[in-house]
Amino acid sequence: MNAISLIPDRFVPMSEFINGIWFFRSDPGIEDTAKIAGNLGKVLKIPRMPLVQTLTPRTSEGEKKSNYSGNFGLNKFPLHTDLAHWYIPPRYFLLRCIRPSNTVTTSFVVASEVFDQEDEATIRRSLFRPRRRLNGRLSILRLKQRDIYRWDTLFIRAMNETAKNLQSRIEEKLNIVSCHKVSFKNPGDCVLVDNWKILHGRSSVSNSELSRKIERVYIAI
Amino acid sequence: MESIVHEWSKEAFFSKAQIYTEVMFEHDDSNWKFGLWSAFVIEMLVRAGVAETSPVLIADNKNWINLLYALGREPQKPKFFAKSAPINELIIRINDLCSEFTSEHANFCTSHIARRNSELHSGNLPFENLGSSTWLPMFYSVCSILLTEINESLESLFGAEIAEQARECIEALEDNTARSINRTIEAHKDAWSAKSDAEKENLKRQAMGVCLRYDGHRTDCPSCFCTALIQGKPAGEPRREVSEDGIVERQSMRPESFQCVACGLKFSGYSKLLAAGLGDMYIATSHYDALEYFEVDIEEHIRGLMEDDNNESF
Repeated sequence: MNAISLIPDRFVPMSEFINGIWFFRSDPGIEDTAKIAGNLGKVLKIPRMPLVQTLTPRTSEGEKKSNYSGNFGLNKFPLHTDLAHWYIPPRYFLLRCIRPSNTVTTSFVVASEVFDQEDEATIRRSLFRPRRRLNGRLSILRLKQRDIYRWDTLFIRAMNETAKNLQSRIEEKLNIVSCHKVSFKNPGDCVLVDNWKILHGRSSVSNSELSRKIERVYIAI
Repeated sequence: MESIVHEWSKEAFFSKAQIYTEVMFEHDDSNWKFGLWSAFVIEMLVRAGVAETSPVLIADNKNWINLLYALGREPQKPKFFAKSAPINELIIRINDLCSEFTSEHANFCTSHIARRNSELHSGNLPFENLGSSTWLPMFYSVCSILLTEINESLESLFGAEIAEQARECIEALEDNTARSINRTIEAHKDAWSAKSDAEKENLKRQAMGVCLRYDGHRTDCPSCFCTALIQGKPAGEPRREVSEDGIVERQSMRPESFQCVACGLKFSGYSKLLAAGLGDMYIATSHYDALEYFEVDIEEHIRGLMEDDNNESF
């Protein structure tokens, strides 16, 4: 049996209004999310992370400042792309619902709709860097680099005035942009996200929704 | 998926050139730091140009482990520090790799880098008082060629405004007809020599009296060496400083026309000024009273403190 049990009427490519997100449903009985991811592409092992990462709402207390929970706790997670501080971030990630939540939503925004309003030369001259060294080095980054869009308000820093101004303008636009909101309502619900094209964020989480559990796997092209 | 970019990649060198360019343009072109940072920009662009073919060409090939490093492999050798080829060697490599990069460009890069080395490794002040017209047009020309080589543009390095100035400088540098101005200068020099000493002295005094700083930038005439005037157009945003006496505004000006009232030499066009050795940018300094600068109407302010106008007292 194929690891992914696609139910045709639930398979929503959504290409008619959004390019870079695919929703589908998997058999909730399958325990191995990595296997499902493996059917979609090459599963990526990120150093110092498990192959399948379990995402649950956490308060900021006791959490590391190197992750979003440590900074935002149960509050809203701002829109971002994953590992934006990497020179080439992972192309895709799969989110798979293990324990659903009715009220918590994940928001998606097509990066090009916001970033492509900016002048190409301005984006090229707006330089950013990771907030911390990676492998002892800092690489200079751009918000759009070849076909990769990146955005993170926490893990990357503007290096010059052009970048600071661009950052402010993008932040303003993201505050008013209409997001595509999705909630994982059933175990097995999956979403495959193009991390080079789509920004995502999470709504705030109430104390009654702490049981929400999503698994994430990074996938290469 | 890569967490970092290779430090010898074209992309990394170009990004660094962008950073250095910004620091360079934080200074007026008469400031020695402008020259020093321009040399850093040149170095990064030469390296980017060589890395365009392959980062392997950046490596110092005296030790093959450097080649391994350039290929993206982390050498398993204790205390290993990757070493790139010296910049003068890389200038030779880009000269061979890029057909547009001529020996004239290579010579400029070598001499500009030599100034940088002199600045960093000696007590000499090679960039102090170095007129920008002697090197800035060639600097822009080299940048343009190297940027084309790496599929970048003057705009992506300098921004639109400076890119436009750079193009004008390059055009002026390439304008061969402008060099005919030197014949005009020689002709005026001959005519000046034919004048009597008394007449020369009289004209010299007149020129001193007429050429006021208020009217332009004072310089020595290349024909008669009397005081003459250059007028220019603003280049870039003015820099403002607040002092105890008010506001001081310093505006970089690019020469556009020249006039000497003593010998009558007169010409216009940046390319001709450049060919005549008068192409240095200059700073026009203006002093403003704070009230004048911010257009504060003090009487209006005082009126605002009064009670409402009322025809009859009550």
